[in-house]
Amino acid sequence: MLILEDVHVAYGAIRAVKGVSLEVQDGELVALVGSNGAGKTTTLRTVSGLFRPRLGSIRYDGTDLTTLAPHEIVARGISQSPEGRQIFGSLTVRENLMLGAVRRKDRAALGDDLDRVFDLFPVLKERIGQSGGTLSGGEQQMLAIGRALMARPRLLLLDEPSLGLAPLLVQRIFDVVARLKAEGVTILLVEQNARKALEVADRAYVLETGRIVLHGPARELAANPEVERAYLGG
Amino acid sequence: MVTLDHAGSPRGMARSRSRGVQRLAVAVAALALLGLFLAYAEASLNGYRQQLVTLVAINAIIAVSLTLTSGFTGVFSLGQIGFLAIGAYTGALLTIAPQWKSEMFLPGLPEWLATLDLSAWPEQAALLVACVAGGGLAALVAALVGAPLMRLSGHYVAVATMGFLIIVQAVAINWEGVTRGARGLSQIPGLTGLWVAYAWVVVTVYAVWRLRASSFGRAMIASRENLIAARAIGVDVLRKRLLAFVVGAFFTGVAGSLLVHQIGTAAPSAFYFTTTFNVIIMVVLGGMGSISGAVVGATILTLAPEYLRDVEDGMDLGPLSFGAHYGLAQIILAVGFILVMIFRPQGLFGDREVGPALLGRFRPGRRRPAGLSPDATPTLAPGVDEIPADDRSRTG
Repeated sequence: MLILEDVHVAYGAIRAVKGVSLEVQDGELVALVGSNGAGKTTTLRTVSGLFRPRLGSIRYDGTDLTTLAPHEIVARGISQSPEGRQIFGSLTVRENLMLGAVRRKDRAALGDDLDRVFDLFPVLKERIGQSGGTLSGGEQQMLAIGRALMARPRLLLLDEPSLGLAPLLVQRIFDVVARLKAEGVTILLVEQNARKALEVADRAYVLETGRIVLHGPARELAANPEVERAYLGG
Repeated sequence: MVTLDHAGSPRGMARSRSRGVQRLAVAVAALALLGLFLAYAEASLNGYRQQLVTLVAINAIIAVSLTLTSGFTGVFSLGQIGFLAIGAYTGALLTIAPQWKSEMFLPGLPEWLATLDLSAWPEQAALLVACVAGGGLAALVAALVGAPLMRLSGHYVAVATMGFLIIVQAVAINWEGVTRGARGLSQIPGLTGLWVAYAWVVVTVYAVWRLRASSFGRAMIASRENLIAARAIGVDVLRKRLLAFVVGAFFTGVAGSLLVHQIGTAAPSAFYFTTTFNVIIMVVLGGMGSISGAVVGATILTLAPEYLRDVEDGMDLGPLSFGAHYGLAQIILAVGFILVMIFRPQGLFGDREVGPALLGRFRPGRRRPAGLSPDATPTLAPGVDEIPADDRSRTG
């Protein structure tokens, strides 16, 4: 279980996250929605250890994550598919995927995990020897998620998986997210596409200028007139 | 290290085995060619030319080391030549005969080193000790210096490693009791020959190539290409960089020892900015991420000035006659570098390698279509310390 308590993050003088508290129970799919600049990515990257919180605590199964390096956090079962895909363009699809397993000790099982990723995203198997930079945006997003799955995470952090994708691909990505949830992967999903996110999530938090302004079951939030006006374009 | 090339598939295993055989064949052929060339050079070239060919080898070792330290990781080190100096002085002090050490008056030397006499040893054994000790000390210093420095990125690491170079230079000039200051050490036995220099090239290239092909190499390239993603998926960037820095320092230290045992002297002026920039040009010219590029760059930069020297003396081209213009060689070389940087900014080889089967980079389907590569230009990695600033605009 992941618990953030009153987390503050700042870049120099700019305070991006101002006291975020949230939790993700095992097996849950929790969405963190909000507009551009609200602090969603910053929150997620702080969980991954890429940023250090100025204040507050982040605990995962009782372990304090705020003092750990990113690779130690991955070793504890939390992996991230970062915003904007961030795949390694000059490395092949296969090398990208293998890098996702860089902290794994049970290297013998990697073949099975590759198969699982190819089962989720068959197109990656076709592209296995191709360099990542030659993939389309949608394929790169699949690769980024596949790479995060290669760590065999207990908690998967997905940062804007639908960003910049055509509607059909957005649907495909969300189908995979739903499937992962059904398979029991715990997911913290950051999305600007609030409508889609609230469709698949169990619970959601709404972030505005660094603060959680609303939270609750995803279905209730989707029906909330305020959320509808601000995020669902209703 | 367990690798998973085509794990589980018998066809894949057979294919990788045949690729292994193919690679071995190419490696043997390349070594045989190198051997033939060296035998020819030894038999036919005059002493000066042989020295030049040896110098190519020494520069190639330094350039390949820098390719590992900087090219693969994106950590731009300006301190490489500091390790060359450490290897050079260490090697020299081990092999200079005791009577010369006392003649040069080096009161700072410990008793055992002042009286150490390797002249009775077989020459190549003495040189091996000098090289391994020089490389080893350079690696040790790199581990100490690198632990704090490898946290930096971009121009920060460039300036910080340059600080290291300046410190080494200051010590070499002022620690007179050991280094003999600006006058430098002389009477270093000429133990470095063609064969041993190229043997070290082979060892260096092999070691760096193996590192590149390992999961360690993948992680290094990943951290160069995209620091945030590399860290987010669990690459321990600091450790990868540090290992690259230490291994690069080792081989550079070896090259330093080889160098002084070729030229016979070790003076601080040989280990400063000029040499630093020469080596950087070799690597950038060859392509920042390419081992073969580094070797080619070192070869060009070592030999071109020698051949261009004839041009300086003037020549007749048909009706045109050119008088002697000294300095012309440097100008021609510099214009050449500028042209390469304009028309091929990724260097002659970029990230690629020659010897497809040998180096395994050109497998079918792996080639990137030209013009589609978002990262053809080797750039400094975005700084660890720069992430927040760089991230601000895209933060959700």
